[in-house]
Amino acid sequence: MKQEITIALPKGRLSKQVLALLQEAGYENKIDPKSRLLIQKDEENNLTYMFVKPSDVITYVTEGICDIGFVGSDSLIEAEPDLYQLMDLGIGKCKMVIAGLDDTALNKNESVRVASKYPKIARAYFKEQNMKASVVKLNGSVELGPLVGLSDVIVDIYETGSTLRANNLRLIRELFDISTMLISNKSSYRMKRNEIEEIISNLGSRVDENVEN
Amino acid sequence: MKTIQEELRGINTRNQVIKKLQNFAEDKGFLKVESDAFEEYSRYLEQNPRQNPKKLVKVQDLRGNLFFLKPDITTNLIKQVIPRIKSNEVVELYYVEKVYQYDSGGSIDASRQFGIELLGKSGIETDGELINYIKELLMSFDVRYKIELGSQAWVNLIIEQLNLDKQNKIALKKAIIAKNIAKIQTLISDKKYVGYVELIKATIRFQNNINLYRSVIENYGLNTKLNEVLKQLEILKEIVNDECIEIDLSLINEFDYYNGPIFKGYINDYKDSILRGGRYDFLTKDFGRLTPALGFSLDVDVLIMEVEQ
Repeated sequence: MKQEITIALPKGRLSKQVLALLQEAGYENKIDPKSRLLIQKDEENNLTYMFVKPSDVITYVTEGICDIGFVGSDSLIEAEPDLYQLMDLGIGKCKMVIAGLDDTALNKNESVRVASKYPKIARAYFKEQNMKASVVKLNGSVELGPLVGLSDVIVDIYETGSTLRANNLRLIRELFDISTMLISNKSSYRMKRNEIEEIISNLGSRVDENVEN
Repeated sequence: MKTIQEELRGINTRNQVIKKLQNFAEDKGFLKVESDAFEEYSRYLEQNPRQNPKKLVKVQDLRGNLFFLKPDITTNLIKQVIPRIKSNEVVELYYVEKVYQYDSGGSIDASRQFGIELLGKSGIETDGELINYIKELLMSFDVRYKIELGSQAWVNLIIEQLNLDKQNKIALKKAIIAKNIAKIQTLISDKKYVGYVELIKATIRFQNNINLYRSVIENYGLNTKLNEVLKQLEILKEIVNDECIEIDLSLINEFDYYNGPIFKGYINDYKDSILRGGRYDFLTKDFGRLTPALGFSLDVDVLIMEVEQ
């Protein structure tokens, strides 16, 4: 008998893309992302979906409340959770970048002040570059950092660049690509491997197209 | 808050589980040992460079000397045994003790461990014997279990073939541990290593399929020593003969002290592994002399919790 799989879905824009992918993979949507119900079941496929805050997907999967989840690789690189990152879905693509008012900020002899939602990523980058940096953690509107004198630059995700441009900031350097990953709790993977591999296999061909683009 | 009766029942369950573990080990002929409560700070870090000191609980005596509060048991035991063990001498030990470290919130976490260490015994038959003990132990507690079986030798062999600098070797090991195929493909981008990429992908996507791994090795003309590792694993699988034990060649330990078969066990719906172990001959070199060494440790508190439910 197939074991039930619980899936952590990030609320918001990403959940629509993930649900569309699941639908294309043959999991007809029995669930309504617009509903206020946070737990919804697909009885036919023995799946339970939990709609969670995007920043909490990792927690739900690490704690075993959810077997698998969908989350951006930026969060995974920052948090370094003890999970499996089984598949790059090729959606939610963007980049991690350094941005600021201009690039002279990186030519300072003294310590560069950096504002970021990703302090670990920021510190690791500047350490690798042998540059001194002091990092301030912000939770949102990171673009404010250089505008109000809190920081010289920011390390943040970059999609279209519209927010940067609207605030007179420019892209200084690209650090790495980001995409949405399917993650799995390690215990769930072992105990429910057949069910999880079936989901991966069904998502497989649809996903390969996204990754190539 | 628990009632007194609930608390007493919990204590009774705990005592029964611990007694059962002890009886199991003693019936197999292992000797119970206790490790030191404190490890001298600098000496411990020197002997265990892979440990993260920030996770370990520090205490200070009245003379100002720093110590760690029992951080682990294996290294403490082998530190005592290895300098004195003669070649061809066998020492078979078990323990049931607490170890201490800080949890992610910064609180001191005391975790009771049961473990078995076999020192001076080499050979795949010994590895199989230990895994069979684990099987027997878990079955005696009537829990659903799965054990994944890998090989540190396998991963080390593959990484040796790739021309990676130290940083990328570490990154590759992390990517394999995370089963992150996308990252693995980024790290090994040189086309001449495409066969090794396909081999790693096969071990992640198609678990427990030695024949497939053999055909990838043959089709891409990869290092034939890999076939020797597969042969050893086949023998091991025959010895343990259990569909709840799966070969996962992407299972590796980030650190270098394991050198042969490694394994991890999971039970019921518990979120983490409950046991881990393997052959760690290489670690014994750090303590005096290369000695065959094999063991595992199991989280007793998790077992108690699962038995109670």
